[in-house]
Amino acid sequence: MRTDRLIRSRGLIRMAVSFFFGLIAGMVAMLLWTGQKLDGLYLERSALYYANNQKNKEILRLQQELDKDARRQESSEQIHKIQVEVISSLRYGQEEIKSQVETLVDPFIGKSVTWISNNPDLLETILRNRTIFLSDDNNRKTEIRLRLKYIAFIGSTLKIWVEALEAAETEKTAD
Amino acid sequence: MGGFWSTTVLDFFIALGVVLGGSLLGGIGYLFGDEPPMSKMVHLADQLKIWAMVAAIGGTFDAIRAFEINLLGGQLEEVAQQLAFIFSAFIGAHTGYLLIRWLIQGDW
Repeated sequence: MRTDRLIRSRGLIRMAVSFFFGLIAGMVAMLLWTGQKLDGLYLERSALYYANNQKNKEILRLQQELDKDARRQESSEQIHKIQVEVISSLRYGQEEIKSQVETLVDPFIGKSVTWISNNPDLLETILRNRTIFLSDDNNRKTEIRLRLKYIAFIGSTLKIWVEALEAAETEKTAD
Repeated sequence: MGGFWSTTVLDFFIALGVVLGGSLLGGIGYLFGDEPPMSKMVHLADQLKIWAMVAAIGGTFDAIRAFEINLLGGQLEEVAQQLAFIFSAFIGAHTGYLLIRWLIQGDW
């Protein structure tokens, strides 16, 4: 009884080992059969990885260049300076008018050129009928009314022409 | 002399078997390791050559020791036999390497 079991178990072991050897032989045969094709595919894969990496690097480089250009464009499209020209019949006080107008339009520095050129009303609203006072040596105050005449963009400089009229003069013009 | 020839042939086939078996089974291992199996098998066969010789002559230390004893003892025939075994193992290992290379690269 025991001998039978032993013989049977030995037979099983032999079968298992034979199966294992067959498995290995099959794997080797398959490897030799498909090996060349597999090598070719691996080669192709690594070539594709390389090409993909190169493309990624190129995309990153172009992206960085685009970002840089966008930043440069953005900074060049901002207003860096506002130049004020005063159109007035007044002989004196033009510099003071200029300085007061510059103070009024100062918030526009750093704003986008496109934004202001699309909305010139903003500037006009600020300056329309704006009254400023000029004081002379005798502490006499002259009332001046402002009006925006023209605006122009020269690169990052905003140039504005402001008409300054004395209050009395303005009333006359209104009449 | 019969013992000499049988040992020489045995060394040849052991070295050949180590290189062939090692390379073929190593190729399966490379396949599971996501690497190109055939080109790696050639490298593996080349690397296995020296170990195949060592395995065939039964360990370098023993062979060198026997070589030294025979040489110092003036038994030059034994020394020549040892050299023949080493040479036979080398030929076996190199044959295995060449077979693998021819199988994979298809050139002489």
